Amino acid sequence: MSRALAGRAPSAPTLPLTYLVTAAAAFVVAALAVPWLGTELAGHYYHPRLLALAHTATLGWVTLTIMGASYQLIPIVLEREVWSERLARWQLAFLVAGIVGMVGHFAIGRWSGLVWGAGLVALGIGLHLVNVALTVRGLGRWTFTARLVALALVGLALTALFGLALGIDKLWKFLPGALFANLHAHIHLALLGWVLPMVIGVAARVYPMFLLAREPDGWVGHAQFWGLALGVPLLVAGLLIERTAPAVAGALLVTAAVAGHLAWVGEMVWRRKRPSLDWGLRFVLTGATFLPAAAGLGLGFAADLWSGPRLGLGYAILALGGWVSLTIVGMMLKIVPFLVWYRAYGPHVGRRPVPTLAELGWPAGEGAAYVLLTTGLAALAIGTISGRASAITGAGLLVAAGALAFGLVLIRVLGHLRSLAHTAPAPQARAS
Amino acid sequence: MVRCNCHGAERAGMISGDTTIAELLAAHPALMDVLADFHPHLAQFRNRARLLMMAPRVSVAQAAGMASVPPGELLAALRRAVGAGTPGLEERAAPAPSPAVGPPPVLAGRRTVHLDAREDIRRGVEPFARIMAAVKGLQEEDVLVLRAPFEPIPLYEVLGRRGLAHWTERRAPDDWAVWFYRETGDGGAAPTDLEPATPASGASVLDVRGLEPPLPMVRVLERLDGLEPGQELLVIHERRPVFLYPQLDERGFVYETREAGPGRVEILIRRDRGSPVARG
Repeated sequence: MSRALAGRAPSAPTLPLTYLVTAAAAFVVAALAVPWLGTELAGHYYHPRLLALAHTATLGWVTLTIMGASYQLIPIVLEREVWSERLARWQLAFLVAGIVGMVGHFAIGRWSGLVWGAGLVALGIGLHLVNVALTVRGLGRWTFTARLVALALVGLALTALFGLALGIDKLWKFLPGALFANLHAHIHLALLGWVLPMVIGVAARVYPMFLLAREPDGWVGHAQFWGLALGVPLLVAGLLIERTAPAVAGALLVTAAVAGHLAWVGEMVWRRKRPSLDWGLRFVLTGATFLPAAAGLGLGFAADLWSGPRLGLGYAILALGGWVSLTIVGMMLKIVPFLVWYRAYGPHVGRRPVPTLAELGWPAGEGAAYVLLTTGLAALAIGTISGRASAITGAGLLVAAGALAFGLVLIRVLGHLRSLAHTAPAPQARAS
Repeated sequence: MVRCNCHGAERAGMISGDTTIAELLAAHPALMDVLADFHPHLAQFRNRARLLMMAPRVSVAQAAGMASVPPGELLAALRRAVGAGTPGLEERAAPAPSPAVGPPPVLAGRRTVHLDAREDIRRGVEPFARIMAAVKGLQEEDVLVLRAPFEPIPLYEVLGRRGLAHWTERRAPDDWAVWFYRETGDGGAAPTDLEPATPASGASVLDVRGLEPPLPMVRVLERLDGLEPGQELLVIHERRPVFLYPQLDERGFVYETREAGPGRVEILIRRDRGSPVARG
């Protein structure tokens, strides 16, 4: 008989939950700030408060979510136990301190403090990379997801180093090239080198689980991997040296990867066995519909078909707000209830009646969050492109209300953890 | 209703349980539609490759067995289609599958090669080449466990000629497991405590594929609650259930996980010795 592999235990649910709750708090803070920044958002994106907003979203919201989700999903998608949960908790402490420092100093325009904050963030990211590298050490089967995660981690390392260098460059000028060329390269390295491969890689394994669809495979996967592996360096290099040809070539390759991802998502939706979509999946799929517009705008920027700070802000909101944020909100509405359910009720399954996962949700709140966030983010993208502060403020209010609704949904779910305190211990089957 | 271009009553009398499908269709080509309409499993004879491979080797009675229908009913339908005959003629039953009590002990401890042909067959893909490739790769002691949506009767003869005996288990009307193996006479190696990848006698099977998390875990834990010491549960999953393992550890179960193929993981669970059954 073939010898079985040992079972792998996942991280304690509190570890990813701590990350995800911190990230959700950052999202609510960022969303609440948007209506107050209507005037700034109607102008140029290189504004201290907008840089503070952008880093609250990219580091506090997106990066912490991905890291937290990684600590839940790595055991599932890579079938490896996380190397050190203790290190992961230290990492979070460094990251939160660093992000708060960075955002605060961005907002007040003090560069020396910014560098200290960036240093702490780089340290936290370094710990994450070490933890994940030691987790996947000796991985025998490099699946599509594993390769994309590895690619994303390389992107994260380069983004962090580049960001730290940009911060230090504020104090001691040493980076070659123009400020905006470096800035655009940093932004695209973060978005396309870190976030995009991570989302694409995890989606290929997790979406089928929730859509009850077959895991996609075939040449489209190779197109996605190589599109990102070759396209992102080309694009970033093109932006750094301000040459159109490599930027366009890179942008085309990245667009091909995005098209492959969308084709897979479409295939999974089409062939799903799940009859109806819950709000979490609606968020995820609606987020994907923002991708073509963002990719099209990005391609136009690379080809010098258009330019300008307003269109640039609209592009960022479509990508970061529309695609990334809606996707993450959707995934959180799937992951957080599961982690809470597992922590609160998992030990009692089969021993006494426990609520179903659906019973932890709050469909009315999730529906309200969906309507407010999707319409708000679409309106915000249009508002920033039009440059009308009043429209931006109005859209920002919708986004803020949607984020609050999302926060309330999570608080309600987390409330089930209180049942731990009121529940008698489950009977122990093991003889002591 | 199939129109048969033949003299029904005269020729219908020639159809018996021993008539091979090849003989049947050579005499009455239109009966292909009758077979296909009678049971979806019999529609596979529309596939030319499968027809060439199976039809000369499968009798009407065996075809009925493959579709899990009474041979008499199939015979009656075929005879009615050719314009005559009421049932009541010979109805030799297809060979009954082995009772579902697990494979013979002689197979314990042997290396197992799993091949699941169900999805291929459902999609209309001919699995014969895959099966023969797997057979070719078998070592002397190896066992091939084939899963099919019907009893693969023609294979018994084909693989029998290659010296392979078989043991058949019907797990569901559309789920058959057949162990193909060479009889060595020494009984094979004794299984160790944690290596019986094949469920022992009395083991129940729980297929949780196609369920959204955490339903697979719920189903398994609910079933395990009543599992007595010595009983086993074989769980068929799409992936390693990493969140289930801590629950199994905590409840005093031992388990073994084995990848049986793409998208198929089998977890054999039993209550640890000395661990009491949890109640309440």
